[in-house]
Amino acid sequence: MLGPNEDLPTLIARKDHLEVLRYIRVHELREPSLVITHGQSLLGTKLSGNLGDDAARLAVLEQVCLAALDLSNHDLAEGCLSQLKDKVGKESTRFRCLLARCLEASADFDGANAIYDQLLADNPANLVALQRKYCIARAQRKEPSEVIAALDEYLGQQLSDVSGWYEMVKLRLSIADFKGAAYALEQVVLGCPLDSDIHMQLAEVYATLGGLENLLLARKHMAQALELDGTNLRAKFGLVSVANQYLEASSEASKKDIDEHEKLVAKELVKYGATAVMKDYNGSKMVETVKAVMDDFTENLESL
Amino acid sequence: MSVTVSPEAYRTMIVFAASHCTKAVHGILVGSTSDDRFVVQNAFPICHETPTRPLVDIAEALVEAMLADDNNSNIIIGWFMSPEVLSDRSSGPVAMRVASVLPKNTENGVLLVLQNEEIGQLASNEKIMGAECMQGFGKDFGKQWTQALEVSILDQKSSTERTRKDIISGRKIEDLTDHWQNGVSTPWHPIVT
Repeated sequence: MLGPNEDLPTLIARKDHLEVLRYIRVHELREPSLVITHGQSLLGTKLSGNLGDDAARLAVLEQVCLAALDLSNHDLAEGCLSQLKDKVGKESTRFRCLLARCLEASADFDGANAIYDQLLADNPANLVALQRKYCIARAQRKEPSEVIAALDEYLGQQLSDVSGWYEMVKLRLSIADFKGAAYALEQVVLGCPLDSDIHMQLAEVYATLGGLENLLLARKHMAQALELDGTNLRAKFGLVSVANQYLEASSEASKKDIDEHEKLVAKELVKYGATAVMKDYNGSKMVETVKAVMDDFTENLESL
Repeated sequence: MSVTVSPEAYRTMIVFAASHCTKAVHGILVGSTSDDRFVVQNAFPICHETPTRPLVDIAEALVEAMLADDNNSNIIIGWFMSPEVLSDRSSGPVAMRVASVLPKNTENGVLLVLQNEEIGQLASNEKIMGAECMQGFGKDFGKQWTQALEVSILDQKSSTERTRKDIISGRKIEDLTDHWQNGVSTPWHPIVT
């Protein structure tokens, strides 16, 4: 059992191999070398040792297998697989998932897909299989529409997976689908409402989409980003940019679309953002350059 | 048309791409242009993610302010990018869009796409030469980025050698988003520090 002050370096120094592996598993760290070192210290080089606790041994074997795949050590992974197969049998769902991962690592994507398809036929809500099918689609560099469809299928079953939605954001951005990226980022915001960077990214995407409505949303999210983290320098610059962009869009819009109150707010936000940026850069090497940029944004405000 | 790249710009772009080897990187190209040639004098690394409009707008404003400060005749002439995937050899849609709108003082711009496989080999293979690590594109009659441009690096042998040493030593180039992330006292671009 971990004490309150026990962290990974402490466990490693104490050579508590089992706790090291548990720590890495619980905290979802990516430390394949550590896992293999401590796994082999625990079970021996051929991993045939016994811990007296079957469940713990199987968990260690699975963890070492995945770590071996991460380091392209296919022999070690195969050794783990055969140990697991002897114990749990080849019909075990978890074993089949691991086998499919090994096939993926060997670039046998068709073989891996066949196993995942079988797993999904047994249980259409098998999230691991859906996730891995998406990863295979990406690894095979399939058409963006196919990759997005695979991720969509996973997210359809797991709507609350914020990391999955963020993956969708990155996919959509890479193909310049900013509208899709904005939708996905809204889902991420639902899951992480207090994350300043997410609000800032959403603001930037809305600003990229353009149009008065989107620019209003961009302004609000950028302001929220600063509300959540007053030191977010990128958000300070972003606030100046999106508020200014709103003013420019307003000046080109028809009178019926213009909200005078929002225009006033935008002007104040440009001044606020510019002041905040200059405060940060005061005394730095870039102060003159940044001042020139901020002056450019604030000088012609009254004419907008 | 052709593209000539200065040693400093070449080194900045390649080392920047090598600093973020699992991500797409983007940046602004600065230099001069004539009827038949682009000369890239400098490259400003901007981000290692998909660029958005506010980011590009602010980056453009900062670069133009720096050029005005230096009192030189260089202008923004284009955009460079390195794809996320090792085997990708062409630009994504976002970089093409940015490259189309960014150069305001010239009708044509240049889009440089860094070739990841060659950059990856640069550290270990002394036969790889500078110009192999990037592909230049200009706009064709239909304003599409399909016109392949011949790329040459000034002082190619020595530029390649210095860049190779930078990659081997693990030198990192900080872009604008790194500068914002890490604080105003951290460097953005070598010429700024």
